[in-house]
Amino acid sequence: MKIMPTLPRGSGRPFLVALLALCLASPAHSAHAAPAAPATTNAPAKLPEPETPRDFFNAGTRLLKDGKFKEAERMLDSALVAQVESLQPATLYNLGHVRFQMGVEDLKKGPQPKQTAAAASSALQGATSASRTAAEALATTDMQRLVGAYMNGRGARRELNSAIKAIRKALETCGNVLSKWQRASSDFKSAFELNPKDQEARHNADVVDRSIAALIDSIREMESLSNAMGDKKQDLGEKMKQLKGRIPEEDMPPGAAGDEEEQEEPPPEGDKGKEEGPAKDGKEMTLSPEQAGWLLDSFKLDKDRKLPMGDGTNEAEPDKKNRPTW
Amino acid sequence: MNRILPFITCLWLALLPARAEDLFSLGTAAYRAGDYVQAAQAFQKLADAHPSSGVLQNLGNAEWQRGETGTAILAWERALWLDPFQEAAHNNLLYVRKVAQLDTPQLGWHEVISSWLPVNWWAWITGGSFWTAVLMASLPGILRWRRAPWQQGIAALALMVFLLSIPAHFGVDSRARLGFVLQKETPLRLSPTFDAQSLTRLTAGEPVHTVRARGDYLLVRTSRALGWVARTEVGFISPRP
Repeated sequence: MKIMPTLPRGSGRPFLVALLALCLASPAHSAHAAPAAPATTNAPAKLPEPETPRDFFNAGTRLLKDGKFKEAERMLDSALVAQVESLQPATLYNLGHVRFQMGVEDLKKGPQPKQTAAAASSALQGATSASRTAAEALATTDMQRLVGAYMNGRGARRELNSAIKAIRKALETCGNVLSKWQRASSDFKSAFELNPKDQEARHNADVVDRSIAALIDSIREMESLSNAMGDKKQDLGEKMKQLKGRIPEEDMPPGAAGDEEEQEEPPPEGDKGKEEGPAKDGKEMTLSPEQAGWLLDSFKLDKDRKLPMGDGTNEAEPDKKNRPTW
Repeated sequence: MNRILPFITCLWLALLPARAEDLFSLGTAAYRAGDYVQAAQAFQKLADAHPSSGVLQNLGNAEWQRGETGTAILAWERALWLDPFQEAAHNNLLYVRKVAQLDTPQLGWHEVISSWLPVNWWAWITGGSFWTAVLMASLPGILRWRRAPWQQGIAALALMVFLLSIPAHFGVDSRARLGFVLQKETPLRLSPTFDAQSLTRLTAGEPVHTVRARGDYLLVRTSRALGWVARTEVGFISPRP
């Protein structure tokens, strides 16, 4: 893919020259690149505020090359709104680039669909295994197995909740990216419709359409996983309730009382939920050697399972120095 | 063939009024029976063949009854274009715009003047006043009459009417570019393309001023924004080639 170059004032046919080849360019298209680059100086002078549609186009193209996509979109949109017929094909072409790149950036920043789906599959498998274990334990009267299955189920449910959250976040990101790419595809198609000689625009529209198709596949996969996880969560929850009903109060593992609340996400209430509650003078819980043994056994059941996925909030902050400021 | 052609023309002319009358009767009967779709079709055919203020008024009523606000407003506007004294169409427009919360077209002063009289009248007034002024100024000289003050008075008056009618002609010309959105939720596009980004959605019956055309699209100015609509999505007061 290439970006339409900035236009010098008074240039008659702006679309015959292309200035810069982007990383997405196919080899066939890189052959069309950049006959002449404008003279530049090392010290970037502060550019005047754009006034005319041409200025907006040039500013938008410069910002696109600098990777400042949000501002570039604003500038190019302003150039497009002015309805200067000669500028429209090039503006649409560059807007296509901007929006596609914005989608790529969003994908980079957000959770990766494939990794999220893989982690969700693993959580689903864990939950299925825990549900099976619970069903088997429920068929017996062995208290050790019941408690072990309960503990196992609790871990699996926590992991499942984390995976559901991660999938939701990934789906949200993918939805945003999809809308940006669909707009980008339409922009390239519009550029081609206005200038049928512009085969680059047509090629780019095809590239974006293929990316959209792949993204939609990922979204569908995640949606089906999300549905499956929802069902499994419900199934596991019911089995956990049954297990809880079978285990006497004194044999109940620690923390079981809060299980009901754990299932549901706490409603977002701003900072209220983040405040630390008042300290409680709790009574130290004592464990019998048997109970300790059950607990340890129940942890052993989890040994093959992966650790719960984070919901993305603990991810390392991207390097702020390298991020464009806009 | 040369002998048959006048015969066919005469036959066509003889049949035409009957057919027009049939269409009118059909439309009226359908309207009274509550079949507004058929009524609208009959009035539309009649209006295409013989545009008249009354038919257009009826067409507007039928379209309004079947829920087509855009085409109803267009029909009433066309009725007023042909006959600005048509009070029913005027009142209908006021009522519908109030109900549908639509803007009244913003007209320039010359457009307002042009809407005072039927469009054809302005052509007659301009032509008549011009030739009256010319004749009153030149005939006495050509026919060797004695110049009388009343002749010069009429010439001056005719010249004044001629000059005053010129802005109205500009108004007629610019009002002819006034269009109305036919369908609800019509997208106002950012570019004249099929896949264009939508700036906003236009309401049926919203007035638009045409700026220019490109292919199947028209660049229009609305009270909200400047953008493109497909030619088929807008109807004009004066059908243009």
